[in-house]
Amino acid sequence: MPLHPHAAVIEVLTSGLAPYLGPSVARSAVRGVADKVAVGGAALDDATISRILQDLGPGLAVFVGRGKAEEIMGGIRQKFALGRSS
Amino acid sequence: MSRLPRPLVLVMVLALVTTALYVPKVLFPEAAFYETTFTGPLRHTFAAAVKLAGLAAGAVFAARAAWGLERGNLSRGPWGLAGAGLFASFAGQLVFSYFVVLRDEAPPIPSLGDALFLSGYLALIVALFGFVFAYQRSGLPLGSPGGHVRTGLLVGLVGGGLGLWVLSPIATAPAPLAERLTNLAYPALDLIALVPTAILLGMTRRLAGGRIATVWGTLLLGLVLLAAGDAAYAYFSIEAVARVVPLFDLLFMNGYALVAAGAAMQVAMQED
Repeated sequence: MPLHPHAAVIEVLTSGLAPYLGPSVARSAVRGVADKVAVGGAALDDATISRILQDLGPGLAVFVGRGKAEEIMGGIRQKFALGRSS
Repeated sequence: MSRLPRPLVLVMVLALVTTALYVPKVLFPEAAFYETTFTGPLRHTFAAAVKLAGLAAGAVFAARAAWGLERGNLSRGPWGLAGAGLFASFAGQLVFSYFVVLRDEAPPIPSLGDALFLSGYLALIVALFGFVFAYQRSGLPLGSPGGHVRTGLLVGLVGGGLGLWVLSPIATAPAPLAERLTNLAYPALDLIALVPTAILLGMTRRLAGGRIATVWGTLLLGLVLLAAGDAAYAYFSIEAVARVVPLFDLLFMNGYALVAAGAAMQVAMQED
């Protein structure tokens, strides 16, 4: 399973959410979830990235609706070439 | 360069037009333009039409925002309630407009319009508290519940003090009790509305740079203008400063337009 550098993952996730949440909340939210599911600084595998996306989705959905949140998360998944079930 | 959302462009154009039409009326009330062209009846009709359009659009877009959210979404109820509140205010504005535009007289106080407006405002306030609850529960880093309670208490205390200053001349005015209570109700509700508004402003500040912040910045600026209009109307109506009445229209027209624009941008964000 390929590993993605931690900082790069944070950057991609933040840039995917920032158009909606703004850069500050997007970064804090991503870091908060990433810190919970991964040991700080370690490279992240696809399953961990998927889990981060799953954890971020419901919070975003409160503002934009579940369908739109899934669409945004889908766009981020594509950047990592992740399948929906991975 | 990112383009401004279309509702915001429309609101800016409206702000320019209404400022150009209504501010000079305060500064130069006897100007020929207001005596011969933009006369009282036309001015009242224009203001009523803009307010009704803003309220109707706000009600429709807020209802659409609620409709577009799935069952169980914590924001769905507040958007629906906001839509209902704006619709009740629209109905209240229709009653006021009937008196001002068609009968060329001030509406009685209290009137059915007041009942509709006040119930609509109450629904809007409950909706604002609902948004605070929903966004707090989203789990996103928008500030701690303790911080929000402190903000609410601070604004409540400052607002309460301000309220005593604004409301006391209204409470002691030589007017029938029903009229005084009605005149008190608007600014009193404004002061209550300030609490969730301030908390939501704090959340919006954190979200700066994103579309959600644009939606809420627009909505909340609209609510602030409406509250300022209510407070000024209540205060100056006691002082009988008829000369500044066009400023109230200016605040209400742009306040409703901003609320409608914010709700429209919420729908666009959900549906894009």
